Amino acid sequence: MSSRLLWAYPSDFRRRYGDELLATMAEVSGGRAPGLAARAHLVAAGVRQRFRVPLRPWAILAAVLAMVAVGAAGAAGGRWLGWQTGADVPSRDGMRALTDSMGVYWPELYDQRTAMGGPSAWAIANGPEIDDRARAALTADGWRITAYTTVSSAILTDVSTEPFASVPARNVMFEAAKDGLALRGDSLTGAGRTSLRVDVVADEAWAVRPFTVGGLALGALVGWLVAVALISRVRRGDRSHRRLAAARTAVVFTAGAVPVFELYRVFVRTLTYDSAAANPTYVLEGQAPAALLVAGTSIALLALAALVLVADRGSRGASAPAPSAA
Amino acid sequence: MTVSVAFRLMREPTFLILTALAAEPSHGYGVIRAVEGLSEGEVVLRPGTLYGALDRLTDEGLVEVDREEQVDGRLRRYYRLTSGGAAALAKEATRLRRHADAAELRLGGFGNPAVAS
Repeated sequence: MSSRLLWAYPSDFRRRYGDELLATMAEVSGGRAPGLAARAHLVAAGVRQRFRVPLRPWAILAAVLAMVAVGAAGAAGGRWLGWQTGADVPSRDGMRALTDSMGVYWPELYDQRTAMGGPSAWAIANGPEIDDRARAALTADGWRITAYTTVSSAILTDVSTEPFASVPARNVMFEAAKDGLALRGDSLTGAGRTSLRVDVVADEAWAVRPFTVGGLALGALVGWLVAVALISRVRRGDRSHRRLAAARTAVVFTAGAVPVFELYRVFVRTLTYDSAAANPTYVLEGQAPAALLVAGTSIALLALAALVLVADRGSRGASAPAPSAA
Repeated sequence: MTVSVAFRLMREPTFLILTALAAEPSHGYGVIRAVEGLSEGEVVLRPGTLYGALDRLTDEGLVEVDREEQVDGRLRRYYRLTSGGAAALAKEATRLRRHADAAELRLGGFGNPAVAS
């Protein structure tokens, strides 16, 4: 009887019970090949075994924490994947070409992500006083203008006088759309100068929210399965291996706590983001320091690698249940 | 709390596997046949279920490996009840007996419906 029948079981279980399970199956079936129902049951039992965690508080806690942590990473991965189905904002060269065509050169360029994780490109440029060319430039670039407002305003030139001295100015605000992108901009022209700001944000891609939630579910599932596999290996080891594994597990979860918490904040921001709002929202404050996130993630991953090593070594020392002294 | 409840409420296959091993050590196929006999054919364990249960019971310290044999080139591993397993089985048997006694007492007014039907 082939050991391929046991493919659904975790490798650790196959190593411990595989031979005798197949021998027992052969005895049950009288030496004949197992039928479809027997094979299906074996697959179901193997899958069940992959999910089974020992009924010990520390094991259940570790599996739940792993589910929470990997779920957070899965949500972040799902969100990233979701945005891959959306439109790309113009490159820096593209943004530069756009502001050039509006008659203002050498822009400062910024790439950002909205609070939902969508791509965004900013250009801020200053130049000499010129006629408004935004409408013509946008139309020539294929943008559909959805709002265009020109307002007469003033630029203060001296605040030491009463009333303040000022010169007339022109304020233009515009919005446009093209191929899954939304553009917002404004310019102020007067006193011999023009300042221009343009930002382009990708519309919400249909896949972002479902992929984020799906990533969370998939990550949680993977986290549980990995935890069960590691717990299964660790508990076969001797006491020193188990202690070492417990210490490394504590390091993994302690170091990973802040990055995982931050990932859940990102998750909540993603799902509660208002894509219909007049302006995109960015995250400007309240994030954990980047150094803490990088350090926490690095330490957690290193400790996880060390945990896998010790779990593997521990289980190799006890590959099958041995007869006990009576 | 969940853990203690799970240990206290022994599922029927577990109860029958421990009962099968109470008399003497047995290998997998022997346990399957013994359970079938003990339950008068009501519970037929499949190998996948049996070894999942044996793994859990070994982990919980209720069962341990007694010896290994090679029969016709096949591995036969014999399992036996530990003292902890015997205590758990005895406790469960007492609990079930208490429930059965209580049920029979309350059914007194009905004669014996199990026999009547």
